[in-house]
Amino acid sequence: MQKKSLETILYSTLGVVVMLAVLILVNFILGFARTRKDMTQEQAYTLSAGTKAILKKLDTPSPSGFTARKASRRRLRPYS
Amino acid sequence: MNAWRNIWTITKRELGAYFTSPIAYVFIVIFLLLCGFFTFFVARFLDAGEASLVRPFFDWHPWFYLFLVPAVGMRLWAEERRVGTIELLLTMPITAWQAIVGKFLASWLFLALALVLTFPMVITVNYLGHPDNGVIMTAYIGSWLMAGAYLAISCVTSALTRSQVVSFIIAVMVCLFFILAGYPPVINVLEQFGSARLADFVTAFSVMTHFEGFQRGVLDSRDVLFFLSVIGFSLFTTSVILRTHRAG
Repeated sequence: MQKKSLETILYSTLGVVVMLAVLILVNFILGFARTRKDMTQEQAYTLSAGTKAILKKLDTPSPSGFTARKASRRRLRPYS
Repeated sequence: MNAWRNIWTITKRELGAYFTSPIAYVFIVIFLLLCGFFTFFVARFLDAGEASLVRPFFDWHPWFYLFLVPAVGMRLWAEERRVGTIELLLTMPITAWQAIVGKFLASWLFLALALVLTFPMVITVNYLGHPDNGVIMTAYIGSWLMAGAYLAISCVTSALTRSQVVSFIIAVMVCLFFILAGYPPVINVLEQFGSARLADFVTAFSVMTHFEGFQRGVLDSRDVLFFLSVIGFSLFTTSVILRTHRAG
C-alpha cells in the first residue's frame, strides 16, 4: 500500500517534470517556425513591397546602423 | 462530442455560480474602476494627447491581473475540497479532465466578460481621435490570453490547498515571478551579474515579454504558443494534483 502510493506520487511528479521539459522544447523548436500577422492598420511591422524591391537590387553587403539611448534602459529584443 | 457536452455543462454551472454570489459583481466593478482610475488619473490618458490605448490602458493589465485573477481562481478547487463536494463532483459521470477544463473555461469566460465591459475605453479613444483599432484588438486578445495563463496558475494553487487564502497568496507569488522575469530592472541585474544569454532565457518565461508583442499589434505564433503552453501545463498539473488526492 505504502509502496503503491509512493509510486503514484513519483509517477505524477515525474510526469509533470517531463511535461514541462517537453513544452519548453516544443516552444523552443516552434520558435524557429514562427509565423506572424501584422494587425496594425498601416502595416507598421511589415516590409513594404517597395522596400523589398530595393533590398533585392542590392548586390553588395551594406552596413546598417542602429542608435539607442542607454538612459532609456529599455531592453532591446531581437525583433525581426 | 459527449466530452464537450460534459465540459459545457460544468462551464454553465460554474458561470452561474459566479453570478449567484457577489463575487462576479464585486470583481467586475473593481476591475472597471481600477482600469478607469489608472488610465485617466495615473497614466493621464487625456493629457497625453495620444490616440492609443496601449500605454495608458493595457500596460496596467499584467499588474491588475496579478491580484484580481488569483481572486477569481482561488475558489475553483479549494472551495470544493473544503466543503467536500469534490468527491461528489468526481463521482459524477464525467472525467477529472472534463471537470478541470469546464471550471477553467467558466472562469476564463467570466474574465472575458469583464474585459469586454471595458468597451467604453475603445469608444472614448475612437471618439477623441483615430487610434489603430488593429492594435487595440490584438492587445485585447493578448490581455485575455494572459488572464488565462494567470487563471490556470491559480487553478494549480487552488487544487493544492483547502484554504482559499493560501491559494490566493501562492498564486500571486507565482504570477509575480512570471511578471518580474521580464521586468527591466530585474533583467538589468541578470545581465550585469549573469550573462546576456541567461537574461534571454529568463525573459522567455515572462508574460511581460510575450504580452508586449500583442501590444505592438503583431500576432506572433510564439507569443500565442507561450500562453497556451502555460495554460496547458497548469491544467495538466492540476489534474496530477487532483489525482494524487484521490489515489489511495
